[in-house]
Amino acid sequence: MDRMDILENQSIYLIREARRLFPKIGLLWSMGKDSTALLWLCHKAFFGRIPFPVVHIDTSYKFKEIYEFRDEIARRLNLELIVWRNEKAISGGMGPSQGKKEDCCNALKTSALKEVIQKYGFQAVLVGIRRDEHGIRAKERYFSPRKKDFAWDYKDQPPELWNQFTTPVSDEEGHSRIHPILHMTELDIWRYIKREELPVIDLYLSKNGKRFRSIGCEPCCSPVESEAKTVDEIISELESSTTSERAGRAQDKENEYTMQKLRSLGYM
Amino acid sequence: MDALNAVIIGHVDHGKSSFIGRLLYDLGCLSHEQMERLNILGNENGELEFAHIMDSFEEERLFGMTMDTSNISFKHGERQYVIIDVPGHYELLAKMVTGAHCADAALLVIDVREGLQRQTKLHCRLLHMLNIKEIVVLVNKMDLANFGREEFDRVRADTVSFLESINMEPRHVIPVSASSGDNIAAESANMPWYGGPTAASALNSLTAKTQILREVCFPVQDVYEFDGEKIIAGRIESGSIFPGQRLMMFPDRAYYSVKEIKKFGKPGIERADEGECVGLVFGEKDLTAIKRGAVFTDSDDFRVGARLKGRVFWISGEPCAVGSRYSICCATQAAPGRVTGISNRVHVSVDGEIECLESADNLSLGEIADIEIDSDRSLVFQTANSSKLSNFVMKKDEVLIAGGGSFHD
Repeated sequence: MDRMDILENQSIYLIREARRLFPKIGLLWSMGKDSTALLWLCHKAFFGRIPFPVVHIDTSYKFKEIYEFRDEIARRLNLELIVWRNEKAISGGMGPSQGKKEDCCNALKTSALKEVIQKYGFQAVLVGIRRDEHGIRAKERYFSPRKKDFAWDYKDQPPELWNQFTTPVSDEEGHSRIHPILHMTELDIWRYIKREELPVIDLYLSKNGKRFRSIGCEPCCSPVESEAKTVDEIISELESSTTSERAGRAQDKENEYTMQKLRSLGYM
Repeated sequence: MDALNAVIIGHVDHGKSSFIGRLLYDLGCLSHEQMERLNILGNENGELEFAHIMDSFEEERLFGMTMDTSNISFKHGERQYVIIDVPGHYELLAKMVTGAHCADAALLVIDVREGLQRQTKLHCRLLHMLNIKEIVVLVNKMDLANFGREEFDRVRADTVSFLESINMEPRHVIPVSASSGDNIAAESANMPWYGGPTAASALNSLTAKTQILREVCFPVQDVYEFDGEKIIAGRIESGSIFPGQRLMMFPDRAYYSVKEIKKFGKPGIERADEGECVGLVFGEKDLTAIKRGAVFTDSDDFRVGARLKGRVFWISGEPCAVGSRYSICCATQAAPGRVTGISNRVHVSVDGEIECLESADNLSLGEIADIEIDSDRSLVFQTANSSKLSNFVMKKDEVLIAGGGSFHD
């Protein structure tokens, strides 16, 4: 098996394990490259179907291309799509220009996720984070239990050994985050996208000398200098790049430990 | 060349995280932002804090200690590496095992001034239990010992003889300084008396674990019914499966014949090999006996039994007592069971002394012992330590992993 096969099989094993251990499970899909690769891995794991809901946490500040992409893929893969917004905060005017970015991420992403987990009674959600994205995400487990108040007890994470995981049995205890692509790097994701011929939002491809390397909310994402107009060109660009992926994400830059704070409160 | 997963082990403050940061820095494998951060987060003397590359939590940097395992993936030359950092504190052993268990090889870091300490010995004993045989020793902080050959030779002799006592042999023992970059990626001008490889080239000489088992081992992970067809999902842990093959299912010892191997988007699969997650469709009409935890094989070399014996390490703060109950998990099987005996217990004391006890009534954090368990149900297992069915964990309240080990006769 080549590297791609090894990575894919590990992810599929984790996805199947998660669905077996948590009958009420959902997949968080942001339409970015990582969660789209995860969506495809789920589709493959269950032989051409995703037997659980796919959730989009919509901050209302996403790029318009993201919405178009979402609806097109949802139709093609016949997804059971749930779109969820923290309507109260949005109508209350919460946005990235209101105070700290951290507060906006907490309200529009973390709180919205809390609402949707409670509403649908999810015991677990599959999330497409990767270790190489950020030092804090590098500390994560494949199966990460979260308390009822959503907190990530990063000081006391449970052991994982030989594909045996911690699986809280009672719903009272909160939910679990499952991270099936934790072991993949940014370059792995692009090579996987190429191998599987997956569609990507064209914001990732260079226009006028710039492209987005990481996509979230429009006001908080800046493009990077790049001439990569195709997936192949992105791969060769990354093979020689020394700039990190989240260089264009505003919430990482406010403070060295913003990501730690966001994640300890339940951010994805 | 095969990818390599290497774990950096050793006692508290001997320089595990700093070594990783320094290695990546010297190999030129840090991103622009990581380089910037190194400069921003340097200590009050203006020196670069190499440990901060791996230690990302605010508390880790504040207290200068690794709280949890993390890893970093990079490519150097033609080889892909994953370097796994683990905490050195005794209390954080569960996190050390979490990181170390998937490693092919280990780099043991020892402070030249302190020599072998408690976790130096404990981590090495765990390597043995995790079936990690490739090891390189890095005698660190040589700059604080004036790059002295005598100091190095003393630690080297102690380490080699300790490793020998647990049937291990290091591939190399290298004098290094992570903070000044001696013998990390470039040969040190400060230690002309040393003629061996640098840490980076020693790392490159290590080989990944390879599977040697040929027999089919296919633990059932789940049973799906899609479009009226039953698909038995699982990962082939060893051997090869092909359509037409007759496989025996443990524990029932019933035979089934493979009609089709399913993977999405790949019709007509003629063979599937070790490591592949597949779906099997069987020709038999009645498949009701096939459940998660059953194991398909073409070999007789499996044990089925409820009286289990194994050698385990304990990673929970709550000790294991004879008579207490745990869930025994091996591959996709799980069964409740009761501990009936603990023997040959090894304890490494605070000052690094090894204490052995032939018969014990409990097992505490960091201790290793032979254990006997009466399981409520039979499990399928193997005793060859390269088999995926030889490893098991013990879960408290069916939730938290408290100990792990491998079955023996």
